[in-house]
Amino acid sequence: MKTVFADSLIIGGGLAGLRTAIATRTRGLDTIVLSLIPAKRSHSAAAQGGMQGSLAATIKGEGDNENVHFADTVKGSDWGCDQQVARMFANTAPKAVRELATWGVPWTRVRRGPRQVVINAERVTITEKDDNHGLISARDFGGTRKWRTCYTADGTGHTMLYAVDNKAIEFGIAVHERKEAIALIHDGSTCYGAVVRDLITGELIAYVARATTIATGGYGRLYAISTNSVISEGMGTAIALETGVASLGNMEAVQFHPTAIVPVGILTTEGCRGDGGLLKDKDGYRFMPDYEPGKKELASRDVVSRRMTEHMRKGKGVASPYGDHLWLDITLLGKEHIEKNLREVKEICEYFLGIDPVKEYIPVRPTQHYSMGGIRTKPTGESRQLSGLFAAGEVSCWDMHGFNRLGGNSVAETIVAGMIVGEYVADYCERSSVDIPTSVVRAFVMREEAAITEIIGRSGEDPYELKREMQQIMMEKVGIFRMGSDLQEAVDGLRGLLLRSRNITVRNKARHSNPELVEAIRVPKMIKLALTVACGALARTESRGAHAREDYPERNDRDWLNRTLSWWKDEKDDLPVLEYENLDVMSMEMPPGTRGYGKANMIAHPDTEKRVKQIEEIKESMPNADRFEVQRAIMPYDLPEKYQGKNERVGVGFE
Amino acid sequence: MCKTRLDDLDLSNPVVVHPIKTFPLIKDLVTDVSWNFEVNKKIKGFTPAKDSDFVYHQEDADRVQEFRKCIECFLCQTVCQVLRNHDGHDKFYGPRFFVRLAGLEMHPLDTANRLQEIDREAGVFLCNINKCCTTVCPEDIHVTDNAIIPLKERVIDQMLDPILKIFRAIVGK
Repeated sequence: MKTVFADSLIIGGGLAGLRTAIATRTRGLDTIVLSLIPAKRSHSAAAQGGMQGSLAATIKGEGDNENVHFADTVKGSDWGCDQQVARMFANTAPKAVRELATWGVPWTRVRRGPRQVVINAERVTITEKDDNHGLISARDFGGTRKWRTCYTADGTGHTMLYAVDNKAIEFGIAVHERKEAIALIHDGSTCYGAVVRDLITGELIAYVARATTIATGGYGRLYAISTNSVISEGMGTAIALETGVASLGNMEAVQFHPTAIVPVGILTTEGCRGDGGLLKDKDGYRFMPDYEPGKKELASRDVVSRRMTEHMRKGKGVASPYGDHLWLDITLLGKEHIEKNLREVKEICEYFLGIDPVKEYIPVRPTQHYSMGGIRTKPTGESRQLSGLFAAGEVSCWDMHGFNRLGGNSVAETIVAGMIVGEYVADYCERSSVDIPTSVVRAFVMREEAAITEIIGRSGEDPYELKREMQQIMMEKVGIFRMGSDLQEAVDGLRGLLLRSRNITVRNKARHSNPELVEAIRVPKMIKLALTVACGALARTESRGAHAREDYPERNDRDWLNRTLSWWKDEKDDLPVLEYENLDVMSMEMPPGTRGYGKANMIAHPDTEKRVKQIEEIKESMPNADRFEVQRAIMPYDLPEKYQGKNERVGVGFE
Repeated sequence: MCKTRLDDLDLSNPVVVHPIKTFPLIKDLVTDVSWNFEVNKKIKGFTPAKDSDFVYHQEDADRVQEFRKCIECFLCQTVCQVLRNHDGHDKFYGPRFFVRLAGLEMHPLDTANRLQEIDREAGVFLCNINKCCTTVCPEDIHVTDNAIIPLKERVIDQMLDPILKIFRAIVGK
């Protein structure tokens, strides 16, 4: 048995994984990153629009700070997030943007003087202050009160990933490529690493580590059409689920992005609408102001996606051989702006649609985009059940996004989570050692080896067929609008696929370089994840954020202000076990309120009024305190010491 | 090339695809490009001044933002004649890494001096400006005009120009 030892093992070489690796390496720990592909090819590179951080350097960001960013994030989450985590995030995000500047990310800068921008379909002139010349600029994104999204012309995720990966290379961090973690090694209470399959040779290797961090991104590919790259199949989430010990959180919280192109599902950034682009129907009519007169096209993503779907259901969609769609119009932004700040969008349109977005409308439709759910962790990133197991980035549910994520908050989360969780991982490593019999490690490797031998040996189900059926069920029955009857059919259908998947096999019997075998190992895991999504969605009889039940349209804080936890307790089970974790209104900094979209339709939590009053009293009792002292009095939260400091902003200093 | 459209080809004949030629073949269309990753490791990363305030003008950012578009597909490395025909792997970094070097050298806040490396280890003068790299770049980076030629000019200006050398010796810069 080949065994590799490390202090800090990180599964996933995207932004979150690499930043966590840098954190633990900087603390002197032996760090290894596993990646399916060369790290620079990770899905993080696909992020186009930008990274939120309240730097407040542009005139349209004036007055922005952690408080505003925190409030936007909580509102965006439909009060489903962990507010302490949202605070940790909002305070660290500006530091993350600035750290990346010191690593060479060429953020787009503020230019002094007047410039023309498009706001609400009109050209207006804004004037940037002289003092802010050369500071990090920001653009507008949905669901935010200020222009807060920092960017590098376009392709922000790509620029960030290259800078962070080159930094990891400088630190001498080992990235083991073409390696897939297929099981976690644990003893029921502590995680000791992973069983890893070499995708080229087919060999199984035991990676034994003091701490294991999963950073494998989302599970978008459970759906047939997704903006996610083909590797975003949720394998990190699945191996945590398969421990039977670690729980997943809010798996039913799946985001649909309003503007993916039809039919292939590639994303056009929210920056299109942030910079002034409009949504139009088959008559060329701009419909969003009718539904959302306040934020219009820049309402939160879940809201825009639902409004688009509603509008298409009214027969206003544009018919096409690939189903109805709507138009995204960025022609009003002009050639120069599109070629510079929306270049990737232009190229996607040229190569995949054969159109020029400078002159033509882009066909778009809401499409699966982001996984708010994932491995349930503490605010430190550590699993609540399995010590030594951490999660960072999209794969985790530490729970920053609740039931809907704001645009620009995910790339920001990757870096911020890497910074914060990386410190906690290092703390954990410093106080613990690996004390595990090699017989336990061997047993896990032998179990996986035997499972692969069985897959190769038998005759049975085709992995590609099972996957196709699963993706179809998810598309048709667990989409933007959900119905109890559909969801029940989805659960039944997926359960049938799960039973069939126990007899999965491959036609190509090779153990090495065999994509079919990779699929046969992954598909049963994916079906289990799909079941946690569908079961969670069926059980949650309310509508919150991206989870919209047509049979239960109201947000019900009285009964559902909680987080769904799911386990796969026994390998022989056909369905996940669901439990619920209540959100404590009495410790929230922002008690539940309305998001300000459509007409308020909610059932209040009995504690809400009490907490509102309590917070008012706290504020009145400290009339001379600054905003930081007031915040601490209302909702204290923890952060690694090095990130606790205040953030400086032009004109206001550290206020 | 990676962005060739099938409808631009004559489909009455079979379309032939080859693995790239400059790097060793592993299997089918897969080649081992790890030499590139080793070259990348040799380059000194972004080095700002310790007391930098990290403020700069967008005009300065514009230039390096072009180089940031590179996706490391290594098509430029593949078609580069120094690497492909003259097997210059031990004396030439290849176009991709001149793009990275240019991005670092032209970053307004970078303070490291890589000109000696660019001249010697990286072998910038072996490039004879065929522009094959620019032609194939799927990200439309002007590799030759905006990265390689300015780097050559910087090396000449800083290290090789005798008049400037004397001038600098006198003014002490």
